[in-house]
Amino acid sequence: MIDNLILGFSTIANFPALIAIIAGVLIGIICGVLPGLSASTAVALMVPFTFGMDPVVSVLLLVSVYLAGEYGGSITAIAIGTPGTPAAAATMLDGYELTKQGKPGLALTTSVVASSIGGMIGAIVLFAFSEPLATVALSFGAPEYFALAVFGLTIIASLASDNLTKGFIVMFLGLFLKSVGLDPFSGEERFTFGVPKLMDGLSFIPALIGLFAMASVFTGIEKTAARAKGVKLSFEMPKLRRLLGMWKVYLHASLLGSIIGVLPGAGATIASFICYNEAKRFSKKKDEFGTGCLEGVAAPEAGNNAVVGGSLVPLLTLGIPGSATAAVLVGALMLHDIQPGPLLFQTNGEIVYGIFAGLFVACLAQLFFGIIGVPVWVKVISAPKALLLPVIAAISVVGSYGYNNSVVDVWVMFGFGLLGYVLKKFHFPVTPIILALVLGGILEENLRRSLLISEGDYSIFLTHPISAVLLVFAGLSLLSPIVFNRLSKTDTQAK
Amino acid sequence: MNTENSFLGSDRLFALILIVASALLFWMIGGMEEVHSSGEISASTYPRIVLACLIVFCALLMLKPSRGSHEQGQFNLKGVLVMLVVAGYIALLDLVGYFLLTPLVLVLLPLLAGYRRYDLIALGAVIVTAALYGVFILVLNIPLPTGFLGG
Repeated sequence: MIDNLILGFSTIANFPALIAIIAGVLIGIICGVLPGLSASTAVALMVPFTFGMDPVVSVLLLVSVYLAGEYGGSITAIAIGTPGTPAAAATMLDGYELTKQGKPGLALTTSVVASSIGGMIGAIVLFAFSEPLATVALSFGAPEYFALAVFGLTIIASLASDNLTKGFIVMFLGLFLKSVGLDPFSGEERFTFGVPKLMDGLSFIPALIGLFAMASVFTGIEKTAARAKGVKLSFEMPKLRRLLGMWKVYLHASLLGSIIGVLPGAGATIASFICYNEAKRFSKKKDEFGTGCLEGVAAPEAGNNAVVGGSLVPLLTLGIPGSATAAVLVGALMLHDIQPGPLLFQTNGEIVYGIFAGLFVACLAQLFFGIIGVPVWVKVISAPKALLLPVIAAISVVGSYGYNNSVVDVWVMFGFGLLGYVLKKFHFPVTPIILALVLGGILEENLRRSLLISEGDYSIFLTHPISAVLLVFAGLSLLSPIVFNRLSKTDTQAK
Repeated sequence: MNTENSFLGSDRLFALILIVASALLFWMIGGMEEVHSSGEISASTYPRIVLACLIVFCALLMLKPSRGSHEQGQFNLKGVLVMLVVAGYIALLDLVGYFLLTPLVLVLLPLLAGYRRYDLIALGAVIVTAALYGVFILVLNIPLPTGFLGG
């Protein structure tokens, strides 16, 4: 274990890697600060900039953007009462109250300290659980991978819990789009319509740039107000003793956030609210929550940053993304010929352990820039979106072109941008498409391979114990949000 | 598109379009040659299963659309114009090239969004075009289309 730690830190102990981490943190914070740019959009937007980079450097850059993007959302939540990312909504409850009382510095400092501690504990969880899980995953065959892909797709139940039917429609649409191209077994063309470029299937990177970045341009410009509101704030910081006095809250929320991150589909937003509720439940000052309580800022921030390390556990060990941002990271890894999964520990150990070490350094960089940069980040909030969104459009077009030097890929990006825009307009969740594009290939190939092994006998998925257990988990994962929704409705009605 | 007060609320309309498209694709792939040995499912079977599931879930949505479905799916002219500008940018990218088109798009889009600080728009367009050139061509060594300027 110590050897792996040394390997990780030696991987990142060079100038390009450290610059990538620092740049990733700064970009992540800025993107998180800008309302409408989530951590997943930020990572998708940065992927084209990694085309020519060393794989380790590019992964460190993207992971740092992911981590800092989750923190950055809290700055707007606290400063102007508008969460920069959905996960920062829970932080707003007490953070914005402190701003209204003229004390944003207390909330902003607590937020960055809690986020950085949460990120570090998430990285420890990633380090502790990844290798044992990867060792188990090495024994997986085709039926197990099929069941794993099914389990991964059930994330949709939590991503679209308010309307499961819509989630499934988008998922099947994504699975269909993934089937475009040459059949992996027979080489027959499927839905290529005579376009040779489509034989390789729809390019994943342009697709995700379109779904996240270009779609946000289309929807964003529609809503853009020409001028942004000015922000006037003062920045008094909390005393060190007060910050250290919340160690139980940091630890509790970070562990909870890490566990939630490991569970596919739960994600940072759910973690923030659960951690907020748990901090309130265990607090002696329950009444202060919602009125500007520092614990109410610390708990959701520690929780949502701990999710980052946690969500990388299933991604790196099983190849199953635990969140929308992790799904975008899969595409970025594959772009650099890195196949996430159990073999990654043997083939690219330096990358895996480099990510562990990189997350630690990124947390320290986030703490440093978070504290010294608060006045600057608050200025970024006032940047006019009417100027920012066209820049995102240009990066999306140029980035998609640069992926393969092909205008076809730019059209793919544009098509997915339109699809994302239409889906948002009709209140359909977008993330199930990304999950389906990531998992669709694994699902089809392992379904067909399993049936070849069993000579067409579908019971192979139930006679293999791991596969059967995973399918049971998939069923439970699918049903649990429905049951929880029903229970919470009954509870509300009873009250 | 305003579908208010009609039977075809936006959920139903969206589902109907998907059902028709899926049925068409289902029929199209049916023409593929089915070659398979024992236990092997053919190239067309998997997409057909997926399309069938898509049709079933769309039908479910038609039967039970979400609440407030009538208020969804309303598009405005600004959004459509932005899409046309971006589509034009892509269509002319190879012909006209990055260097002429990018600043033009970076001027047009803020104007469409209603922003009127012309000095900032012009400055932003030049800086972003130069910055992307610097990052993609000089740092990452990724060529961008030069169009007729490149000969």
